[in-house]
Amino acid sequence: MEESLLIIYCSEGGRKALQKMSSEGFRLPSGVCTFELPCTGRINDVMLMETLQNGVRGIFVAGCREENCKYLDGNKRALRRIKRIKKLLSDAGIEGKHIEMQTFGPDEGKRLYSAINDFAGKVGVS
Amino acid sequence: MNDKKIVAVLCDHGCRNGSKIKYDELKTNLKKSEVIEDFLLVNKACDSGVEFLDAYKGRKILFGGCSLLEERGIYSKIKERLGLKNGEFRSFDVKADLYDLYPDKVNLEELLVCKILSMGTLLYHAEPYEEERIKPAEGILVYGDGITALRTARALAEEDISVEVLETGEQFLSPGLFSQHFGRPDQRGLSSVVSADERRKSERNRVAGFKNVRFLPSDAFLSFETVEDGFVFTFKSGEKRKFGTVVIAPEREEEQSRETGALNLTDLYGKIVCGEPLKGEVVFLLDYAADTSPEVFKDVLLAGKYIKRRFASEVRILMKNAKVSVSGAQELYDECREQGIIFFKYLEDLTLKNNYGDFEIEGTDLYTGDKFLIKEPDILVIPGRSILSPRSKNFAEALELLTISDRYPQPDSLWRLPNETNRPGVFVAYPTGDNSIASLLFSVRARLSTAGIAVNEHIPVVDEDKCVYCLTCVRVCPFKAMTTDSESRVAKVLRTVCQGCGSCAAECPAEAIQLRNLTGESLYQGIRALG
Repeated sequence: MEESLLIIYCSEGGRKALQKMSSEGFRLPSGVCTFELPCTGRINDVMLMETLQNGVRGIFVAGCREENCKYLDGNKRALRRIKRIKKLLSDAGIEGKHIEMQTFGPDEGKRLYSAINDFAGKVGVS
Repeated sequence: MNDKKIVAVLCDHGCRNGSKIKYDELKTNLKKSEVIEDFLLVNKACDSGVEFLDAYKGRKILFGGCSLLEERGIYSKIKERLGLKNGEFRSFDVKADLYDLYPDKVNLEELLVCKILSMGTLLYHAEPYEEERIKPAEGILVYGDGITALRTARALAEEDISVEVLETGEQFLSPGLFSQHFGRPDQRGLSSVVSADERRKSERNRVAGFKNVRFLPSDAFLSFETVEDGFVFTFKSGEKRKFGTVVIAPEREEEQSRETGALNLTDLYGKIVCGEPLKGEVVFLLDYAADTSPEVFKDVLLAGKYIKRRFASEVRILMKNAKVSVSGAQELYDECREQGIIFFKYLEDLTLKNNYGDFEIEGTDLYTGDKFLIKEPDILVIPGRSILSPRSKNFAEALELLTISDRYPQPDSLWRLPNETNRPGVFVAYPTGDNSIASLLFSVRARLSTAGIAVNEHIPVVDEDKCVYCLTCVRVCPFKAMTTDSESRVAKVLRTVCQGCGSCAAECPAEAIQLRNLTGESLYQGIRALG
């Protein structure tokens, strides 16, 4: 997983945005792996920390747009949790930039594409 | 743990024309893993039979194919033929979730190995389970005594469903909502105007005539608890009743907006009914103070279409979050666009200036990114807020329904029908005409006629030794599916209510909660296998 990027997406909005992205002709950078969860609300500290520890350069989480989570507030919980983990990471001397979460509607393929590319640029994966 | 190994099957037909995947290499790489026993390649799995899998009876199957396989029922055929239980079979859409995401030049073998190993790990750790179905209890409770509650009760009674109506006893009535009191804009006619109170009284008499409707006295309910197949209500008389389905019927009130110079929907309907010309530029501003409910959005579309056709006015609809999730609204929306109504989807930055009734609206369009400015429209319509009557509000809060800022049930969610709430089995009858009652009936009937509510695959399992009874899960569960057992002092799951999102498992500080077939350990390993 050296020099790679992990995208964790939820099986609702995140997945639809990803498919919209591919149907619009945008492609993921190589070196990006994807992993599906029922809801981004399932993400927890251990999962993210372990993944980073295993050598992934960055984790990008794509959830449903706020107010549109199928599970009501899973995405908001995840956003809060990730904010906290970012702070923990920067306290530990690792920059918080290696984890990012954004929310997407099912029609926002292009925005997802540019968000992933921006993130890949930030953590240095091409 | 069960040590059945995985047989990975990949369909290679048409998903990626002219692909040059080196399958031998793929197979050797996969077989190095501990979880994969064998790897098979099928051509055209959608057309060929499933007999080729007979040799692999007793193994778990991981199938990568396109969405066609799901549509043609190939997956269920495989499960049936091999006698696979739930948790012994998993499929993934290899086209949509893998091939399509990457550019052509990428190393597909590597990605395929990662994907198969990751999914295989999850499947390897999954335990087979029998599907459970729990049937909801029979009774139906309708809460409210406005016209919507009565209409809902009558519609149910007409279908030979026994209903109990719990009255609020406060006669809170919407001051005048067009669709309730006048009919739809294009079937109008002043002769049909009857006062709201008269309508309610005659409706109540009609409903009381049904044998299968029972009116419970107002204020009779004391407390309730959720059980797996419904809700148990305790009444003041000491009587305990179980209802499988609850319908809450709020009344709607619109704010007076005359002082500002903008119209609310009721005012607009009044103008339509009285035949006043609505010429010039007509602007609807939705989602301004509070989100517009889908039912109201449909009403706005109807009114806009009528105005456009009747007066050939310039109609503009500004919206932010309004959704077309009510049946028929999408068609109406398309029709409106065809007729030349202009829609703006504005961002957060909308400003509304009011200069003695001359309005100026400024904002940015989400899709084009352009700024728009609407100056002094001839008519500005801002649909008012909708609220729950005070007693209904208390009732909704007692049921722990999510309410938005103005206390109307439910923040809108794309994934839910407008009459569904965060508590399975509790529905809302919106006070917007017959359409909403029809869609409500559909949902209620679906709940009544089901052979039972299927228990989600990923329900949480509580480790009773680890649970410290901190109630974090009870607080975080968006569906109120976690309850407590005060005797054994552990958290308990209401299996029919849980939707399997995993919020509780992620938040549990004692790590006592694990989702069935998606445990933390298997997730970590699944992610690790991507490397």
